[in-house]
Order: sequence, then C-alpha cells, then structure tokens
Amino acid sequence: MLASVCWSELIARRAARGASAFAVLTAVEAKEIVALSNTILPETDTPGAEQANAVHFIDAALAGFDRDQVGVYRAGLADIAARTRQMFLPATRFSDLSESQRAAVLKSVEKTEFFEKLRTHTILAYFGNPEFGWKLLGRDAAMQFAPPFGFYDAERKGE
Amino acid sequence: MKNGTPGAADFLVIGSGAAGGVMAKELATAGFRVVVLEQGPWLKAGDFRHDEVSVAYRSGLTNNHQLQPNTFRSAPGERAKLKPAVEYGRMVGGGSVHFTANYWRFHPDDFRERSVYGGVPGADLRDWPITYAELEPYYTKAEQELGISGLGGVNPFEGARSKPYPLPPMPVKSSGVLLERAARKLGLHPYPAPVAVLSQPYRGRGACVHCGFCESFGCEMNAKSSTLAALIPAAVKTGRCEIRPHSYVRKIEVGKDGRVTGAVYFDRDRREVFQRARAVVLCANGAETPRLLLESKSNLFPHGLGNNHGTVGKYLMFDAGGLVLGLCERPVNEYKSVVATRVLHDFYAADAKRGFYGGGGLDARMDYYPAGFAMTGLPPDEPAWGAEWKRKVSQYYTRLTGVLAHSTCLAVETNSISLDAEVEDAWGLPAIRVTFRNHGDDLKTVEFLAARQKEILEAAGCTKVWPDASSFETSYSRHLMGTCRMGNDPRSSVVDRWNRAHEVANLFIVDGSSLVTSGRQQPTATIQALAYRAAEHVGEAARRGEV
Repeated sequence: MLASVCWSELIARRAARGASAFAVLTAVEAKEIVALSNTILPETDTPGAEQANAVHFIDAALAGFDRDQVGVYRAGLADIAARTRQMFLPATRFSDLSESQRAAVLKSVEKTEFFEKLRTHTILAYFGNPEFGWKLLGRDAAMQFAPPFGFYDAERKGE
Repeated sequence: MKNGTPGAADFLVIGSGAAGGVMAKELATAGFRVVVLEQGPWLKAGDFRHDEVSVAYRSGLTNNHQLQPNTFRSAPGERAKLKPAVEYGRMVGGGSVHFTANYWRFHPDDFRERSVYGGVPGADLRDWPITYAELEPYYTKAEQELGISGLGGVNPFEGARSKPYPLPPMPVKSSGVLLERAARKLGLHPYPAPVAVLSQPYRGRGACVHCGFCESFGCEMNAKSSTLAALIPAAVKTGRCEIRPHSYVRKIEVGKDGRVTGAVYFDRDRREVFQRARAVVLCANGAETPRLLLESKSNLFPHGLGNNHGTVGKYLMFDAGGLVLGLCERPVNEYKSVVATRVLHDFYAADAKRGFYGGGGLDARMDYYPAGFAMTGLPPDEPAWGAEWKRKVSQYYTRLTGVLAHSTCLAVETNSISLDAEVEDAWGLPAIRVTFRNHGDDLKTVEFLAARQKEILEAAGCTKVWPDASSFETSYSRHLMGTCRMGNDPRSSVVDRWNRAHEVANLFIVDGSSLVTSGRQQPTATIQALAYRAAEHVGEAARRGEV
C-alpha cells in the first residue's frame, strides 16, 4: 500500500524529536549504528549517513516493514562489538574506534546478512532523499524537464 | 455471506489492469452493466509521489510479498521455498499504472513461430490460433484509444500498420542519440520507441513533463496512458460500470449447468461477498488468473475451473534479457523523461544459424533510480561502500547509458503457476507456487544479445562497458504470460481464439495468460489488442444471446 507521506518527510519528523523518537533502538545501539552507517557512507566534502538521519530510518524500518530483522541487527551489533574487542583492545565499542579501525572491522563482516541489511537501509535513507542522495548523484530535483536532456541530444540538436 | 449488487451484473470483470480496464470500458460503453472487482486500492493521480522507498522498494503499487507470499522452485520434484518471483500491479489500473510504457506490437511471425521455425526440443512452441492480420485492427484501436506516441514505418522489421500512431514520438534522449550513432557504424536500424505516454495533449489529458518517474511509479500528470487514467473514468461515466477496489476474489462459482454464476470475494473488511453475474471476464494477470481458476474447484471441475484437461497454469513464460551499461565522457542525464526513446529490432527474429532458438529487441536506457543505483549500479571492480564508493557513484550516475534486451522466453510445460499446499496468504488462501526454469535456448539468446549490447555501447564511444549482474536474474518476473493460453485444441489450451474458456461458455479470460508465445516481451500492447478484440466479440455474442 502506498504511504501517505514520503519516507524522507517521515524521517525528518522523527529526527526532529531526537532520541525520544526511537521505537526499537536503545541509545547505546543507536550510537553504534550511527558510527556503522557513517563508515558505509561517510561525510566527505558532501554530507554522510548521519546528516541524512540514517539511524532514524533504520529505527523506523525495524519498527515497521523490517520488524523481522531486529534479531539480525542485534546479533550483528554483538558480533561487531566482539570483533572490536578482538581486533582493537582495549576498545570495546565500534564507535570508539578511529576511522581506519572502523573500516577494518566493517571489512571483516562485509559478507554477512547484517552488513547487507545495514548497507541497504543506509542507502535507502540517503539516496531515497532528494536533499542528500539526488544532490550527491547530480540528479536535478526539479519535477519537470524540457529537452535537451543531456550533452549528446543537445549536441545533435546543434548539428 | 453478504450479497453484492442486487440482481446480476451482465459482466463481472475480475482485475482492472491493462486488459480489465479495456474490457470494463468497452462493455459498459456497449450498454452492458459491469461490475469490476479489484484487489488493490483506487488511487488518483494526486496520490502518486516520487518516493523511491515507498513506491519502488516497498512495492507501493504492486503485490506485497509480506501479505501475499509466493513460493518458488526451479523444477517439479523440488520443494518450493518462500521467494518473491512474481510481481504485478495491485490497484485500479493494475500494471498499466506503473509499467515503463514501452508499447511494442508483436511481429507477424510471433503468431506463427512453429510454422516458420519448426519445433524446439524441450519446448512447446506453437502457432497462435489467430494471425497478426486479425489482431492488427485492434492494435490500431488500442493505440488510438490510449494515445500512443511513436513513428510508424521506420522500423523495417515491424508488421503492416493500418494507421499511424496518433501522437508524434517523444523527444530523443542522449541514450537514444548514442544508440543511433552506434547503429550507423554497425549497420543497424533504430527507431523512435512507441510509448504509452502522451507527447502532446490528447483527449483531455496533458502532455508528459519529462519528470523521469515512469517505470515503477504512477504518473501524477495523467500523461502515462494507464487504464486508470485513460479508460476507467470513461467506463464509470457511462453510469453502467461500478469499480469495487479492495475486493479480493477467492472463488468463481459454477451452477449445475456448468456455467459460472458469479464470484465470492473478500471486501475491505475481509467479509465475504457474493456477486452474481451473467458472465465473468477474468483479467487478473498471468499468475493470479490461473491461481483463481485452480482455487475454484467444484463437482464439475474437481481440478479447478476450466481445467478438466490439466492445462491451467502451465506454460508460464517470464521476462528475459539483461542490461548492459556504458560510461560516457559527457552527461547523459538518463534520469529525465521516459525510460527509452530508441529501440532496434535487428536481432528480433530467430535465426537457425545461431544454433539456438530465440531473439530479442533492444532499447537504450539506464533505468536506475538513485537508491537502486547506489545498491547495485556500479561495475564490479569499484568499491561497494566508504568514501571512495561515494565518490564513484557521484561520478557515474549522470554519465551512464545502457542497452536493455527484451528476449524470447520459450513455453515449457513444466514451468507453471500452481497452489502451494503449505503456505497461505494473509487471507488464508493458498499461496502461488511458481515452478520455473528457462529453456536452455532462452539463456543462449540472452548471452548472444548481451554481446550485441556490448558492441553497441563500445561503438557508441563508451569508455567502460559492463553487464549489470542484477538485471540478469531469471527467477523473478514482471511479465507473466502463457498460463491459460489460447488455442483451437481444448486439450492443449484453456481459451479459444476469442478468449472464451473452452470448458465454460460464459467465462472469458483476457490478460497475459492468453499469450501462446512471449514475443520479445513488452506484452502490454498485445494484451490490450486482445482485450479490444475480445470485448467486441463478447459484446456481439451477448447481444445475440450466445454468452
């Protein structure tokens, strides 16, 4: 069934309420997910997952259409914590690691179901939002266009 | 059980999509009382949004596999597992609302492949009981009624046309210009894509504004010629056609005389309602149509309605063909306007010299929306996450073009829709069980075409060319064809040459399930031409008291 509002609007509303908006994630889990999704989609010269409120998208997904994935997330977070300790003691939390350490931990779980879900959710949060993903890709958010649309049809028109 | 409209409808149309919308409008206009039962909601143009998450990713306009799961297996003997395999429009207007709007006619030889090419071992390749010439006036009628944009006579491989397209083609995109450049070098014959999108205002609807949200989305401008936008308002305006959304049919009932009497459906509140009718027109698509027939068991039809020869659900044909992508030096901006503006049919006909049976049409496109692109759109040698990945997606997206193949899917008896004995949907009905594995020649055709697609993109000057792995998936389809196919022989087909069920005089089946062969995909024009032809015939037969 078609939702009555776009996901980007829904997420912006939840983000405005801050941590009190979380329906599934604890504050500790949310902090780890922010760090994880930022490693997938970091802030560079353009915004990253955190600015797009990916953690709020993930919480909303886990409270809604992906509620059967909560177990995958919880097991995945426990696995990440274990790997963090194993690889970088005395650190105990992924969010405590440096950028390169985070990349190393994430690299070690690349093929897991948890990583695949986390990456999918992070991408949906960011690239489903015209303000972030479309801007990054260079997709003009206008709702109407007129020819020429690209370089090659413009060039042919000039021929 | 609640009763529907007091008295019987003349025609009960089940499904309101590409075919159901045509049947409803034509029969109501011809003076009959029509009730249309549709599983999904009745949305208006103003309900459509450009939200990739809720529409494309979360099946906003299509069947939701969480509510209506299907199971899948690749061969009869295997245990089927839960796995999404079929996708169809689930709303008033059906798949015509979210389809890409490519509007190809089948070629004359598509109706007589068996005679032209002979048999194919392992497949059940058959001629249709009708010819292209018999269907041609109805292709024309569909194009005129819906307002198809295109340019006839340019494609040297197409059949004869009795009328030009009613509207000029859409403006060419960069992907189309690049296809033309490559075609000049390679001696191929591209032509402007015929699309069910208005290039100019037509019959009270405005022209396309090139927003770029055709595929998977509904058109908020009413410029895409879905049956929701183009036909259903006129059907309702007759005062004789009632559209009932949220009406999920679970059984077609049969009387002692072997004629259908109406259908039982769940309404929005999941109450059962019986709607009586003088005749039933089943237009529920190539997966839901056979499922409903198989569920409609009775003393006279113990194996399902119209299935005393065991043919219902068999010969399922899927979509086939992959996407090859190419990186260009300058911006292509494929995200604007309709998906495809140039097509070529040079490889459409089968050719025995290739050593396998099949062929395909190609169109120029890069049809990824942003999130889908970020998930799987980069070539395999690029990173999949992190800062470098982020940089790459931003460099590639606007500079990509591509060529998509639409290719043969051979009819194989064991490929089928049946009822799953264990899995149920949210209404407690047996889930669709899909059994499907491509004939070996289908896969060879896809491979052959992929090599042609690569040559074209290289000739177009792309600096990097690669097959998009995710698009070569063969166990999931949006084109659902062949499960109640048309034929003269009741032992090997379900409907006759007029779409009337062989075994039930007042049951008509009109949708993708009628197709005998897959053509080269893009079945909507053929489904709608069949619907216009069937509607004319059914109406005349009813007036003579022969339904």
